[in-house]
Amino acid sequence: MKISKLLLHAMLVAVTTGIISSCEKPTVDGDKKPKTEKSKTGSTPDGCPACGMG
Amino acid sequence: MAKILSSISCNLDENILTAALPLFEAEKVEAIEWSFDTLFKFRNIPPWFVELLNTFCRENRLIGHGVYFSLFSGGWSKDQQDWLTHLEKVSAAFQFDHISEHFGFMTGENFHQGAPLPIPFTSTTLAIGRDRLNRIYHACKCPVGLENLAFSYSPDEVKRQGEFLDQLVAPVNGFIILDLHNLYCQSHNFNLEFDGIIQFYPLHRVREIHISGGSWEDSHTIPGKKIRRDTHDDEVPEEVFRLLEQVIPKCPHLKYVVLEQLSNGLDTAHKRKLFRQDFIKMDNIIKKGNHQQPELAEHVFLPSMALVFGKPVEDKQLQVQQSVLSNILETATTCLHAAQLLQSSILSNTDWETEKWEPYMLETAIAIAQKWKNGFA
Repeated sequence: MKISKLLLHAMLVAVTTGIISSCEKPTVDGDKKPKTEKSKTGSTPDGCPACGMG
Repeated sequence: MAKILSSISCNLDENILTAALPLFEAEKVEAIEWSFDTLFKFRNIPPWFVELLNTFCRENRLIGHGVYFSLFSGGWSKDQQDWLTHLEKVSAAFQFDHISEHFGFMTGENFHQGAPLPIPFTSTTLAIGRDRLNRIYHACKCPVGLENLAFSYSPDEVKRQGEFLDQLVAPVNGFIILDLHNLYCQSHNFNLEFDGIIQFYPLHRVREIHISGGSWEDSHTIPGKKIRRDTHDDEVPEEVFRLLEQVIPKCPHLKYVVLEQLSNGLDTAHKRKLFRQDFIKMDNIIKKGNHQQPELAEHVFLPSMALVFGKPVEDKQLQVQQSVLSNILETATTCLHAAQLLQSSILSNTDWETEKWEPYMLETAIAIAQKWKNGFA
């Protein structure tokens, strides 16, 4: 399906500059955790459990 | 049949969107599935993501996939009511072509911490499931469906899930999401032929198919046994593509085939390239399927009459049983320990039929429950 060039550009900018992931736990004020902090807590899983076998 | 649309699971996620961007640019993505309840932690969705949703919405190609409702919880919670209120608001903002949820109940005391596990197939759980689907329909006012669960404790449960799904969605004239990787897991975990499983599914109700990859885990209870898990973090196995080819002609009302992959499986350029290759492979199979199918009017998965509901259906005994089971799975130190706890619990000699549970699947249930009890990373 066709997506406007403007939207594609906005998406490109967002993924290039870093966006909030829906599968990461934010801090209390809603900000994304710094990546360095995430790597230190490597024992907790990423992703989503919905499939039932994840 | 309506044209089958090549779709992706698309959430507000850097890795997923980076992987999918070349597919969007090439106009290959024909529909998107959004898990509308995974943004619960965030107040605002970026305007460009809203525009992405609206772009597909305008073409009636946006579908919603819930994760957290916990359809079969024995009790009714404020979180579930809030989830419905959220769905109502989201549905007012975005016109979904349909909304779906998962089969099972969520372990864990908190709404967003836990994993879905199976429930006994009884008149009680049937009544609860139908009540919840009715409420979802009233919140979204569009077709409502359920996805088959990958996890089962026994082969008997695998064979009964399809028929139970059919009974569940019948009052809302709902649809089924057939997750082929989930069936692939069951086929491997219980040494069952795919044809032997698929025959129990109401394929006339399939409006959506999911394909994805997963992972293998060694069983400690049966050395040498490998458990297939639907972790959505790897390439789609060739066998799943073959199943897709095989099943498309059997699903006369199929409209969406969705490639699912989670962010953690798309964290390198190579993995993103493989994701796009999987999408193209899926798209080619769909195109072939579209050519082979006769032209039929699109089936309407909506209730034929007005549905009413009163107070939420609840079952306190089921609620307690689920709480006990969750606690055992989340705290057991070994599979044997869990089996002993189950044997001396209120679940023993009940419809849960814990006596028939395969030890290696109990072991897997423990792994899943303990993995997700702390929620997302």
